[in-house]
Amino acid sequence: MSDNDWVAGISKKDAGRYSRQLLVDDFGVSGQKNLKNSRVLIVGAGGLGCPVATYLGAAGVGTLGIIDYDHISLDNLHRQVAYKEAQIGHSKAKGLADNIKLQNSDVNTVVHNVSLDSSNAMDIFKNYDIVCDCTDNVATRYLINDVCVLLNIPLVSGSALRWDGQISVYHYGPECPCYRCLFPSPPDPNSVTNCNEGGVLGPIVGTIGSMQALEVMKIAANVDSTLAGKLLLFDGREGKSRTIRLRKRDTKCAVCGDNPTITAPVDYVLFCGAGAHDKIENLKLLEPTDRLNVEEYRDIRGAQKQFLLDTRPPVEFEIAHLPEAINITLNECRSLTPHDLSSRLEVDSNTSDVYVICHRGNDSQRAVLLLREKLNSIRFRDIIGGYEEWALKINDKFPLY
Amino acid sequence: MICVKVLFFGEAFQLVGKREESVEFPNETDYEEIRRIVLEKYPSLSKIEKVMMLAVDQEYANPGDRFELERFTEIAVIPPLSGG
Repeated sequence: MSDNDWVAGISKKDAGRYSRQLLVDDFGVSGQKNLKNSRVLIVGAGGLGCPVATYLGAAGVGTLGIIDYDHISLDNLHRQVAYKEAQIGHSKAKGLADNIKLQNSDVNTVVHNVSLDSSNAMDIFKNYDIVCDCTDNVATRYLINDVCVLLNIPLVSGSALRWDGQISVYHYGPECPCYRCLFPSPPDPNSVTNCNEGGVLGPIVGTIGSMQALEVMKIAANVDSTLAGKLLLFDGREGKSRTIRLRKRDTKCAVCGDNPTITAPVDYVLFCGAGAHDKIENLKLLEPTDRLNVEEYRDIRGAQKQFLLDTRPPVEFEIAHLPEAINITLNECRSLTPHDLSSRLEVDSNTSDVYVICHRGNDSQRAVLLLREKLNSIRFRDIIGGYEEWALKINDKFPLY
Repeated sequence: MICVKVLFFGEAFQLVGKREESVEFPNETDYEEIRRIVLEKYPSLSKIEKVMMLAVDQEYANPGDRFELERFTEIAVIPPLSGG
């Protein structure tokens, strides 16, 4: 036998680079080769998308597509750990792809710097074998689910808020449910809290995103025991996780059932009654006469100290507030008796005006509607745009968050 | 009747204000009755009623399912999370 002959399962370069994962039972050379042949699409280059893309790129996935229309901002950096300060203002999809390339130049990255919707989703998704839902809103979650079912692509879905995370694999195998099997009708838009409002901790999205990357590696490598048909709930506050066994595929499901009624992407913004993003919508619940702008309030308080009710949660009140503000949350406006409200506000029978403020001007309107029913001798008015507007127009040193 | 632990996840925890509480149910019950008792005891959950999953002993509960509850049975109230 010649010294120049050998039988190799993998190239010398890949064996050297990926040796530590080649040594893992049930992954090995075949897992590595399958991963290299896989095309994975990550929808959302945020807190979940960063770890998913980073781990899959490092592990040697063949093609990594990244969809995001948004730009990197300062308040992303605490959890979107792939980005650097110098990248603020740059495209997320391109920024993340650039970072993946720097870490592993063998990965073929594809940047989709677009807002995903019914018109473009089928064309983008059809080039991929596995999709990761790393998005931040309900409408896009239904869109991704439906397109994955229509194109028969397994979906690795992660989500996170505050201290909690969830992960599941949908539409992977004949018995496996899809997102619609579990949630045939969308949530009431008023009941959905997003990370902009509720906040989220970096390690929570880091944990869920890392688990999504692991599920992709198992599916790509054809290793069984995935989270298909299961929902893992992660409670970071208590340090607990629970795995719920989900229902089987619903044979009556509108998209993956035996007689589907959805055979092409639909209008998801209409279906959900909410936009395909996690930005805050500006509500108009009050008449203009029950509202005033930040300049008007500045002039009024400049002349005389005013009663200002601040409806934000205590954690936000603690970040910053105007010195005259009294913190009574929206929930307290709902639950407290008129008597308790008066004593908390320190108003008396001579008080005629109370101003109401919140973060961006939505909860303050909801509070005015509640308060004027309870204390009808007082005129309540809300400050349009809340503290965010105050910081933009009156005092740029006021902390924005 | 029997007292079993009900767990509240995500938005359910935000609305109820507790991560868990003991609640009394009939020993023999079904999906619909559990749902009705939970929503009666915690009316704030009506906000997420449409998307609220129930799991009994870490298994998704389907409409029509019957249960024999025991001392250590756990009922979980699970709405979807959508942030990321």
